[in-house]
Amino acid sequence: MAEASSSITEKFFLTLKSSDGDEFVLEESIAIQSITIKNMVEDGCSSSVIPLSKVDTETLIKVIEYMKMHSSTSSNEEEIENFDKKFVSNSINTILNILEAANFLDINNLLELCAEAVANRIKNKTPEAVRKIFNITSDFTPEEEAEIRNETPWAFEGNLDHSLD
Amino acid sequence: MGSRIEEEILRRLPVKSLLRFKCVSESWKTLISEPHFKKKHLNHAKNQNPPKMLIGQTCPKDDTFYFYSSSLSSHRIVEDVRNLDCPSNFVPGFCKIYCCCDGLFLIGIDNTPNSSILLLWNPLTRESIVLPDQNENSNYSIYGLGYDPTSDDYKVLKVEDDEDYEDDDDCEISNEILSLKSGSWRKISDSNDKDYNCLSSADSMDCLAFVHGAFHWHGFTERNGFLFSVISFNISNEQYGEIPLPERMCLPSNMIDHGVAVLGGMLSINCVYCNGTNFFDLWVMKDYGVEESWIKLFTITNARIPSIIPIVPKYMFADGEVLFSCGRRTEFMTSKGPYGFSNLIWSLASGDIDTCGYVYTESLIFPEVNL
Repeated sequence: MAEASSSITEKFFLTLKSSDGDEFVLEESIAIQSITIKNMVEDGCSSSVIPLSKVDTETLIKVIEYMKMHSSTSSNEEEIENFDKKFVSNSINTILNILEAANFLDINNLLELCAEAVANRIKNKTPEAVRKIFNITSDFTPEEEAEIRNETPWAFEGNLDHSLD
Repeated sequence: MGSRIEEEILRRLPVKSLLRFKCVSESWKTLISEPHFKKKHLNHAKNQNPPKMLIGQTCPKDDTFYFYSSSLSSHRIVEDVRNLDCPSNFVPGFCKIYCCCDGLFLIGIDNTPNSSILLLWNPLTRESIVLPDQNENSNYSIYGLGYDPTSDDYKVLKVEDDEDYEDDDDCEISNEILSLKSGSWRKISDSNDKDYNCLSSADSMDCLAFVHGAFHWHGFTERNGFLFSVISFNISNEQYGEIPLPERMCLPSNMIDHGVAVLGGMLSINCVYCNGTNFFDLWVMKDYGVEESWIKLFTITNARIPSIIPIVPKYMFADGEVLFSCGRRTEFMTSKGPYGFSNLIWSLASGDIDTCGYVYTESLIFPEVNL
């Protein structure tokens, strides 16, 4: 117990504020998995609340869950593996939001985990489903699109997935 | 969605998905078509498991060559065998897969009895191009394909088998190189006037071993009077070299088969000895160019060995298991040594059908060839 209390005295805490205005208090050692936050701490910008204007509350909760699980002090390998598996079973929109946050916060392993998960989920989808998921409006005329399809018709064959998740 | 995020997702997708997603939007099409993106995609695919295998087989019913692709897994059961369309509009009668690199295959096709065509083919994008005619068309050439980062170009090296001209000193056949950007074959001159052809007895080599920016093959050396050594040819500066071999690996007595290959990113040598007992040795060079770093991966002692040569190492799985193609008609077997080989289990019949196979990486790459 003596050891635990001595480490508690050395703990620093940061306050992260989501775009919705919710504040989360987190140990500095966990939060600096984000290179963006780490740089802010090193530049001395962390004494007050850190505003994360690009990350909403729902996404920030998930990101904090992830950082807590992956912080070096807790969790064994098997736990982390199971956590990651469950983590990427979130809806594809949630994962895309986390992916954007991971990119903004510069958390490389979270970015890779989510990118891999999205790739796995969309690899058999139709271009139409992909457009909806990524909120992309096609900028091709029907003729142009037909031309691209005709270049590699076999890529559009087989059992394609129309679902949006 | 930021373009970095899109790139992170897209470079993890299979080639077929990317070809389909070119019609998602102009910016996706542009990204997927960029050479820079294609390289990133390749680098990611290289580290992916399971690897893929391209198999070529001559069907005895119609004497036609068929291509198949499948995934490989270390538990040795191959399930997803897919038939691939032949490159271009060729209906190949006699076809040979010479080598592959970065998802690109070099294929030889005999169209008419006296003319053969050399084809570069990406089976995943289905792009192909007929390469320029070679200066000398020898049946005993061995090929290699590699990427040269200094000129950002793919090069094909053709090394002659020394058997072809050993009885005739006037008839020197030199090795030739084709850089795809230049679009023409060049004979490689060597100031040392040494013999850099490939040892004809190196049956266990179906292509040149390309690793560490250089092609490798078995040749002669005069050094210390040893019979054979490993010759290297650097793809960038186009210079010959020699890979040091410890004395214990240069013993030709009772050797009935040998070859050079790449396993797990390392240069490897395989030998079959036959002197009362029959055994197969597999070596790798852990640190490229360092003689002391040659280690023996394993030895297999088995009476069956002489009947299944040539034994060509094809791929090393993460757990150290090695995939081999064995025998004149080719069966695929795996082994971790020392007890022997086990057959690969799959739906493609082999054994009595001419078969060849190469482990490869999915790639979007198709180089420009100036003709």
